[in-house]
Amino acid sequence: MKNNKHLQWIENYSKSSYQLFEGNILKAFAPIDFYHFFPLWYDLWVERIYQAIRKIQLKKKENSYLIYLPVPSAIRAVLQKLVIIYPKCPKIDKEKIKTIIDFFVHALEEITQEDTFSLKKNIIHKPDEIDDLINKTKLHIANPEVAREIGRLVMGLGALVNGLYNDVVTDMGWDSYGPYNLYKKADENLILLIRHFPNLRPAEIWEEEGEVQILKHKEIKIYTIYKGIDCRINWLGCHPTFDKSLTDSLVTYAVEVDGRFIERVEDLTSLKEYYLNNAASHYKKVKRMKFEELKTKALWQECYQLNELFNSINMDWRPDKQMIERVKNKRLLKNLYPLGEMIDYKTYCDKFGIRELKELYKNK
Amino acid sequence: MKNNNPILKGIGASIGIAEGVVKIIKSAKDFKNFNKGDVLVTEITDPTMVILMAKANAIICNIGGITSHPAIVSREMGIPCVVNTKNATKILENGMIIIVDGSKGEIYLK
Repeated sequence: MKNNKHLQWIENYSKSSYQLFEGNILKAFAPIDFYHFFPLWYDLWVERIYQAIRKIQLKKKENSYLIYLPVPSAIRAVLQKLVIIYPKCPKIDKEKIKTIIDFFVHALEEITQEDTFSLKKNIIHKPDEIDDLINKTKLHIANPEVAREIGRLVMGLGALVNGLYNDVVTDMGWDSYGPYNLYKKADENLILLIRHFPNLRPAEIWEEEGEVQILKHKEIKIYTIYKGIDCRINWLGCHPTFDKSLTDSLVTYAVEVDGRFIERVEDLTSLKEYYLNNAASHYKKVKRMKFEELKTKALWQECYQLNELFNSINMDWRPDKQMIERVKNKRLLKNLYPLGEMIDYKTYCDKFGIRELKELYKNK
Repeated sequence: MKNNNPILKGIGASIGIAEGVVKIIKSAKDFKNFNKGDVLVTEITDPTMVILMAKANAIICNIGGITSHPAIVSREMGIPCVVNTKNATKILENGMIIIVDGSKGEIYLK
């Protein structure tokens, strides 16, 4: 029975997480080839996470630490990288990686209301919370031009967090919740989608960059209600897909910046300009970074994902000397994963940790 | 358009049909030539191009998938996007007027 339970979640995890790679190639991930970088040092990272989780488990208050975890899509991204990378790191203890995987799967089960691994949705609010939210939020009537401005704002914010956190940590700065069906409310095919940018100012990982520390805002939430559209969130919140044009389907919207709602379209346009310009200028700096700098930055970005959890138990989340030494002046590994070819589901299961995951839980 | 054969195919990453003038972006030097309504053609977009993307009618990339950067941002802006065309930057030329079908992943000469 227990074995079946594990096989079921592994099956669900596999199908959902594959969506990150479906129709994609690893070569498209930027600014470095992360999957041939992480195995250089991931055993050290896994040990750190394990120590943190053991500390939490010894306190016997595992669920009280859920609030210190990043947004659900970032938890999924952390989990997926662990599953993909650990088979390439022989030093990683199997019982320890299992403890970590169990911790994150449990966290996702607790945080989400349904569809734990986001095969189609990323639902974290209960129906009464959505009712409350709709009642309290001052929604503005949209039109196609406003819808385009919202789209450009999302692009600017998304591009900024992509530069701040990199392609495989973007979820730390960008999640989407929903789609929440609002049928009962208006007898129409209405859905609510909430785009959340929880940390636009990760100064700790860009300490030398004054401009990150003075970015105007910390958190932005964009509430959008669409009519007659099918929306899916496939594994990660920054990857929503839609069956119709967003421009024609947006009915109402609200933009909340650090707890304050934007009232005028002119302010929306200024906000959009601000983030488009900052995203472009920040990424120019990323593109100018040398290989050694990019590796170190990726190390910091990866560890930063669990900074609040580590802080909550007085552990240092920052990469230590040993981690930095592991990557310093080291070339990336080669041929661990297919770089330039499309990844089909079978390849994903064979080469991206699913086979090993099933093996890991075979006798549990 | 239906009678024509597509000159290029890839993965449709953001639905919709749009037309425009091809502008191939190989480096930041090419940014200044980009006008509102152009079709952005590049290897793969990155965040330095967001100001161009905000002006583009459509986006075409040599590589990438439905979860890649150009795909995500095109869907948010409601403009068509075709990725993984392999060689759009070689087959298309600056100044061509093309039609991009983001649902089918096809590109036609106008």
